[in-house]
Amino acid sequence: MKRTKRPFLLKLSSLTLCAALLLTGCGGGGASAGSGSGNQTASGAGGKKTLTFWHIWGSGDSNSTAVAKVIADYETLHPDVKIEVQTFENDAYKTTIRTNVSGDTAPDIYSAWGGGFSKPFVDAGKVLKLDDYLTNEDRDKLVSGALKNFTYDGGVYGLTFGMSCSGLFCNSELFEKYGVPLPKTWEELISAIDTFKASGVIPISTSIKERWVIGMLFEAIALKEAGADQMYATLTKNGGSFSDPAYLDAAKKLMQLEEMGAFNSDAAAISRDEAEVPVKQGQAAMYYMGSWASGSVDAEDSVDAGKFKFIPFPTISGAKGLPTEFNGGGADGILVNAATADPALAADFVKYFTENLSREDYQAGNYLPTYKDAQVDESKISPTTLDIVDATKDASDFVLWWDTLLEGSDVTTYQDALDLMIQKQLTPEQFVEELKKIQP
Amino acid sequence: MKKLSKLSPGRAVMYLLLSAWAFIQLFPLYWMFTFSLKSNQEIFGENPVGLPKNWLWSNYTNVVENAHMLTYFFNSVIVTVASIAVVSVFGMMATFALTRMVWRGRGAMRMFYMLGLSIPIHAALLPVFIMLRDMKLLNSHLSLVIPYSAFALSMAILIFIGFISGIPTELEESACLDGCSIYGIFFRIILPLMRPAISVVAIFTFLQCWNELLFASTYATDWHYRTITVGIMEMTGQFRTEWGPIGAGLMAATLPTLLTYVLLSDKVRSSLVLGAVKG
Amino acid sequence: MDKVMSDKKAVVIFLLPSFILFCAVIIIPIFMSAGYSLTEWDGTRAKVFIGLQNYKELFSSPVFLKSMLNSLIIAVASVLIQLPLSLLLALCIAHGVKGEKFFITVFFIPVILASVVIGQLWARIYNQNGLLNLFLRALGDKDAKTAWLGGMKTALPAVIVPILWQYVGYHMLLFYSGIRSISQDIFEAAKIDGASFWRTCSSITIPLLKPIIEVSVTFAVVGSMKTYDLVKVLTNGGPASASEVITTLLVRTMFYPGNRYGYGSAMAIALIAECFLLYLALGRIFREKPEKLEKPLKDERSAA
Repeated sequence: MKRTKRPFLLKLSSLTLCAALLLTGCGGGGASAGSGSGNQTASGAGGKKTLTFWHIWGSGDSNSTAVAKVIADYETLHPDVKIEVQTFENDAYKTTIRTNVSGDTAPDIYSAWGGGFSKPFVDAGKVLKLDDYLTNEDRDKLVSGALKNFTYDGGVYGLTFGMSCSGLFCNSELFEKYGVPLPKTWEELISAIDTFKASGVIPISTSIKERWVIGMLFEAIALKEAGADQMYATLTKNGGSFSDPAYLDAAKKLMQLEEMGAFNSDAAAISRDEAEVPVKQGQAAMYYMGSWASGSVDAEDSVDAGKFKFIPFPTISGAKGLPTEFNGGGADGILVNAATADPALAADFVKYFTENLSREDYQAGNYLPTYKDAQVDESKISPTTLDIVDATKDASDFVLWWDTLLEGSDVTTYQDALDLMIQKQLTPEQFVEELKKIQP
Repeated sequence: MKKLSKLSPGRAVMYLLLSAWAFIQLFPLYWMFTFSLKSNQEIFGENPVGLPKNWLWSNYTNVVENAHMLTYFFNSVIVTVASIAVVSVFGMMATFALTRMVWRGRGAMRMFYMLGLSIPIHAALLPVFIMLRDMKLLNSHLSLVIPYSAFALSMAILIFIGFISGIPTELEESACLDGCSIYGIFFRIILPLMRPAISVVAIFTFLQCWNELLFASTYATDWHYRTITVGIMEMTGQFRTEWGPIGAGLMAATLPTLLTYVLLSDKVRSSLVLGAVKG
Repeated sequence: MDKVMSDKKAVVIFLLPSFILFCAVIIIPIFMSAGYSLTEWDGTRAKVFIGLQNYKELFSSPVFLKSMLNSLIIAVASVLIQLPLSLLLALCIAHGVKGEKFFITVFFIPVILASVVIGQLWARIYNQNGLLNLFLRALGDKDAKTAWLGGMKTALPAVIVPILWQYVGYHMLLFYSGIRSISQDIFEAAKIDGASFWRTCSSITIPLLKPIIEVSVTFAVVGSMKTYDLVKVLTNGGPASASEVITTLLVRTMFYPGNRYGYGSAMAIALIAECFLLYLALGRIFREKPEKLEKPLKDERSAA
């Protein structure tokens, strides 16, 4: 007995120790990561105030330099404040931020999307209401409608730094080459498509695999059919209905495009990025996308850079949509955690951030500004961006894209049905029946 | 010469089949290697299949600098090794109780552990997520080690049971006569003899953990803790349509495992053979 | 000795760590999921109890039923295509060929590659200008530019190919080790009797491999149910759910964009039930034969 007990104890304790070390060694990271919670404005080195900030504009995103600059500028102006940034990939972030907000591990400040995306957070009381921190002066600086998608029950819960809208990017080289005028009406669009198709040019490059891309096109047609007021009321479940014949007409028109071969043949297999390739190689005549794509179509590797014209989606005669109504608006915003330790500081940073980023992004051609009198050097802005500004300066209304304005499960219903219809598994009538499940 | 004359049509067909399949398995990897060193023009236009004309090693530096691949790789290693350790220790202990110890309900408990084989890991995604979130363990290595080990337990126990049944009980009986305690038997007799089993379990657990995407992308989103599987997805999002850097990223993720495997292939092969027979 | 071995305290100590882990991660979540599956919940706002409504919706949902069907199709393809190929390769190698080690090493390589790598690689193979179309153009079809992952009819088969490609080596190794464990005397005897390669295989090798074949089939079937990585990377279930499997649908519904934790949990429970039932069914199918065959194997071994 004596002989065996001691070595045994030694072995048992060393084994346990090893296991414990291993596990704590791995879990040690967990403790520090947990400090991502919003209830800390812990003083770091030298009594600095810290704000944790999560966003999606890390390296590789067109916004990243502008964002980093604005944050650095703020820290220079306020040497006692440190902004701890963490960046995420766009798609993964959509899940991450939701789970963290609901689990109360969200940071002080975070980027999010407006409309139905952030509504659950606001409803659950996790977001700071910003009205108390916005003076009349602050509000006057904003472009009208800038906060539309971040206003819930009359209260402002987020600030925006940029607006975008979707429109038709037209390769004017190709249009001139084949003698096609830029389409202002549906009929002109159809005839343009026919001409391009016959000449071997992809009429409209799109991605069906990434459902939001083809969704944008459908929503453009729907907007022209139904008009902004009706569509907004329907999507926010505030008096509108999908039984309105406008939606059936829109669905039929989308299928008309699909059936006449307006899209690239591999649309269902490729991502949005891959759909941009023919556009940048001068093989596609039109590309319906958000205004942020101006950076891409004017990039160095784009064959016809600088020759793209941005036009609103063609109008449909007899329908309610106006040429001054656009899909889009202020979709990206910054929210503040309701549980943050220093709300005034957080609100101050967010105001600074959005105002300055608005100017930087406009200069870089990434977004349209949400703050008036953005002092920018217009000579340095790409012609396509100026085009967009020109096209939207008289905009009467913006309706956010459906996948942001609608809430979670409604988005799935809509996108699944759209997917099935495009693949000819559902008729347009059946598609509308599915939509009616969202808002009868 | 002797071999040639023995080459009947049957054997020739056999070699053909084996070689053809080996080609099918290897060619995509060769293709990935070559396009990782090409520019998009070469890949899509002039030279899709051959060796690159210009060896663009810049694709690799691009990826390593911009895509945190090394961090992700180490995270995968840490998580996998930790899981293997946990599974081995816990599994071995459980196997000993289930096979050598005498108690009622032993058979039922064995079946209980085997449940884990038929349950898909994805079904536990949400509940385990909520548990980890409430315990503030998300975004840490532990957040992956815990579920990975749990799901690898059943397989490990199965393998251990197979191995332990090959160890004769005489050794334990004589140890008992010598006055050895039950813990002594476990540590001084069984454990040393089970070492080959541990390498088998290590390999099977490795296969389960290294590849895992779903849990890794849901639980470890902070880039300090991301694993290589999530990193690859992110990298392809970052480099979009530039196949060159993407290929480089894929190679960077693959090469270490590949080299380790080839170097250890003998050991791996014999372990697996042993494991399959006993299991 | 039994007294030492039945020390109750020791039993508990040895079992406890694994038991706790197992219950916490596997057993308790099943009950939690079952609980959530009876609610409508978006993860942030309060839960709303709705009874079995989620299940009613689930089983009348065409997308869900399609995903179950697809998972089963993948399982069947694994068993009917992948396993015979693996078996054939194993038989060839075990028969004795030059470069045996080389072949085994090479065949196992895809198994150790991360599925996402394989997915990304095959996504490019299936691209309009990818390897497959290049190959077809070389064969004469100058116009080959199908987007294989985008067609309603081609998406599922296209997804199945890499799944099979990856694991052929795994099953082949299982079979190979099974064959290697059969006593050489049997093969010698067969040779002396003048049996050809095929005869030996069909009358001796394959029957003796039954236990390993069972294991392979079980792993292949249950594994197919759990497929996620490759499908996610290649098509994410598209187009229009043509290649949807239960796991991709689950993630889409539960997390993004669906955000329906309750409904997603019902799906998770359905998945668990399906896997478990399949596991039992397979067990029952295989239960009829094994006893008779295991005996001769043992006898031969002890004789040798």
